[in-house]
Amino acid sequence: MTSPGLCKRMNILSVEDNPGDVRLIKESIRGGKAANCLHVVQDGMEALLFLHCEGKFADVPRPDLILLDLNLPKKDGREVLAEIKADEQLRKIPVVVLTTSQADEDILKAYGLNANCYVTKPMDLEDFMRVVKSIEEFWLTIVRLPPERDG
Amino acid sequence: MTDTPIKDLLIPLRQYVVGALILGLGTIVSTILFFITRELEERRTREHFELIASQQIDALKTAITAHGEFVYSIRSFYDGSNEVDRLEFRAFVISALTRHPSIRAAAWIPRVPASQRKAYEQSAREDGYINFQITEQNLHGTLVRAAQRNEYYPLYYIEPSVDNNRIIGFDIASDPYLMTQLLRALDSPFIVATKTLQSMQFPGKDSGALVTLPVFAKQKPTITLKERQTNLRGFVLALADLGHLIKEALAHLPGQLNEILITEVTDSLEEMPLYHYTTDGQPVANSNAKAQFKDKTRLYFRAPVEVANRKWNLHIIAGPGSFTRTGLGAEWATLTVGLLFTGLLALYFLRIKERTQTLAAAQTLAEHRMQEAEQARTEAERSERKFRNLLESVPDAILMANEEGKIILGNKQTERLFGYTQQELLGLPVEALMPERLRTRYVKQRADYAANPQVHAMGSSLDLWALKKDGTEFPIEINLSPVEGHEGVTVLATVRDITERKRTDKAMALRAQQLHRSNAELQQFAYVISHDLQEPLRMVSSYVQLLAKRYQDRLDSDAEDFIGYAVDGANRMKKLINDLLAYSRVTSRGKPVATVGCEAILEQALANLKVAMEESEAVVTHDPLPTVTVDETQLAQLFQNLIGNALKFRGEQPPKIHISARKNGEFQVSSSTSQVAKDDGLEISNLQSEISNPQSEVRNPKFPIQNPKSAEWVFSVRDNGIGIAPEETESIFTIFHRLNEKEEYPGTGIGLAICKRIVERHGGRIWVESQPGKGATFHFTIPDHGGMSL
Repeated sequence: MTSPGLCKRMNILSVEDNPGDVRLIKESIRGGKAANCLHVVQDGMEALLFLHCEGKFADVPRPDLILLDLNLPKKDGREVLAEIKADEQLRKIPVVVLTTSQADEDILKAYGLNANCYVTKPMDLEDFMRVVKSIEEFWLTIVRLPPERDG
Repeated sequence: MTDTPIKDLLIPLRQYVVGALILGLGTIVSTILFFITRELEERRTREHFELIASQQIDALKTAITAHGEFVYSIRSFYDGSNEVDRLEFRAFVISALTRHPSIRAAAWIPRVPASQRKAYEQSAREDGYINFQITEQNLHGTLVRAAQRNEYYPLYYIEPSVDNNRIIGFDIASDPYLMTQLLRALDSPFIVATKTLQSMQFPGKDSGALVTLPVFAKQKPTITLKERQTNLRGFVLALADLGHLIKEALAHLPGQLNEILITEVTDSLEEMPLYHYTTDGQPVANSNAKAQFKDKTRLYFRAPVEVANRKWNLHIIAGPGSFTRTGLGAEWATLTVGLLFTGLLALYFLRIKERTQTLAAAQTLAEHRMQEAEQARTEAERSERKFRNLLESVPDAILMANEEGKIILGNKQTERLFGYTQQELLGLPVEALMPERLRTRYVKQRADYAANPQVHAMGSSLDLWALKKDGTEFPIEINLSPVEGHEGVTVLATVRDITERKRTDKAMALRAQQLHRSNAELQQFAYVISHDLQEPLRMVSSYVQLLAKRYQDRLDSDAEDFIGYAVDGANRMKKLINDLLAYSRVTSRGKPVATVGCEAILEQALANLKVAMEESEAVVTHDPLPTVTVDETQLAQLFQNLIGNALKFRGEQPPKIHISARKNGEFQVSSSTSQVAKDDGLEISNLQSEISNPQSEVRNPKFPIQNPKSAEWVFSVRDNGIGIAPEETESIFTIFHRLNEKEEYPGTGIGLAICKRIVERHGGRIWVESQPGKGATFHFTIPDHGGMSL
């Protein structure tokens, strides 16, 4: 795992409480072309601390992409999403909701809160890895991201 | 009342008869009275006349008698004296003449033998009559010296002498007629009307009457005529002016102008008219006495009078214009009055009758009216009773209050509800039935209501409370209606005790709440299933796969098998979960129905099965399919599942599937093969969506809408697959039931259960006809509501 803060490539923040899925995501990204840095937080609170560079996350870089699970402890993913998108600075960061749920209401909610897209975690391993890779590729190579501000 | 018409008929008839009778009687009576009156009138007149007349006659009689007496007195004078000379004569008669102006003249006619003619003449000349001689009338009417005869009867003394100068000395004997008359006086005093003495030129000859009396020699016998003739000295004579006499006699009497007819009754008892005067002494011109007698229209009164031994009749004839029965007398007045009276009476009677009739009619009418009123009252009573019965039959409390808010009526239920008796209720103010805290508000409301009375329901939403006699309160619902009656505007209030309802409402609210909660829980449950269960599954599946992938070169075939089973298991688990979710979503995610064409839906289902169809080279045909009112998605799902099954459970040949539909007129209650009483959470989610989504009127299969008139569509999906054993045809619709080895035919066995759920949600039913190896035909019904929503 690349240590956070020193990556010259893109930074991906994964907000995921399931260690299994964390590992899978890691595995998926590792096989990717670019050596992007993956940062992981396990709950909603930490996610926000990370994004605000607070507490133990004082020196973390700003992520270029957030992979957000919905069902999170401490602070629910939907709340995190809401807060991110409410924040002037943070809202520019694309948020990909990556969750098990196929529920329509979750999808609606997520888009309602201005998630950039919604992806259901595939059951199949291969599919899973492919999807994650695709996400990475799409958002970090194909899509033009907003230029970073100074500081 | 049948004799009324007859009575009506009789009344006018009788009325007229009586009226006529009255008229007749009245007329008769009037006529009688007329005659009576006339009679009386006449009598009165006559009596009056007779009175007058008798008075007049008496007066006349007296006058005549006096006159006669005068003559007698002259005779007596002569009888008492030997000689009466002119002066003595004059002196004697003058006073009488003065006293009785009606005596025009008195005369002495001596019997002068021829031998004494000269002596008498001489004597007369000496008395003053220078040219006195005894005269007579010649043929020409002039007075000449009388011819020689034996005896002369000259008018020797005449008083008043002045007027009678011419005739003094006239010899009566020269006129034989006159002489005869004179001689008649020998027998009796003789009165002769001067009218008869036409030859004589007597003054006032037309109105005079002569009375002659013979004077005989003293102390000589005068019994026989002969003696009388022999002893005759002369005659005394008095001339009366009858007119004057009459006038004088009657002057002092009141009375109208009548006529006096003096007649002499001859020896043959005939009446000979002598004089005809009016009562004021005027001779009646054109006297036609005889005719007068005949004239019955004039009253006359007759009295006999003896004058100088003559029988005279004095007739007083009512003057023309007086005492006559002419024209309009009292009798006519009587008649008029009588007739008038009769008329009035008749009229009055008629009026009375009319009024009686009117009265009778009015009475009849009044009786009618009374009967009607009676009827109306009975009706009213009946109505009242009905009203009261109605009032009592209603399970709610009914009250009526007047404008002052006092109770004027309350039914039994009111008594029961509030615990008062009828007597206690009447007059009680309405607010007594309310809890104190609500009374002021009520009083104000009552004023508002009175100002604008309307039918007004005040219900459970207003949280109204009532107060029983024992002080307990209970919740009520009120309905107010204004009633206009003869007591003014009253208010009818229907009061319903809604304690029960409130309780039920509360219970229902509670239950709904519970349902809602349980539904929420179930919703959560479904979510959990879809999400939280899958999560670990995915982990298992993914990592086993990862394991296989990472360590595949270090794993043997057994390991691979094991991994395969694990992964497979996980996958199946996932599938089951998804199927379960799908099953539950049949009702929880049921959409509102719409009218759609089945053919389009079928197309959609077939599109979804395109791959499988191509793989199996299936041929799907269908008959014309109707338009139904269904949840589109679910019908598609239904078709897809059935056709999918047909494709899956195919036989050797390529599947041939045919879909048809027919209409079934008879609608039967859906035989609920699904035991709704199941307490599985999915059934309750049915209820939940009923509550939370009233639009999708989820039909509870237990209570489908029964409409005998409505038909249903029976769809059939026939295939040529492997068929189903008859004993299994029921159980295949059970959830997760699988007839076959899972390896041969994949699937969780939920497809048909979902189909059944969908069909039953629409109020239909599903069943299968099949024989093993002979394919299967699945039938399901969809009710045809003709536009009615589910």
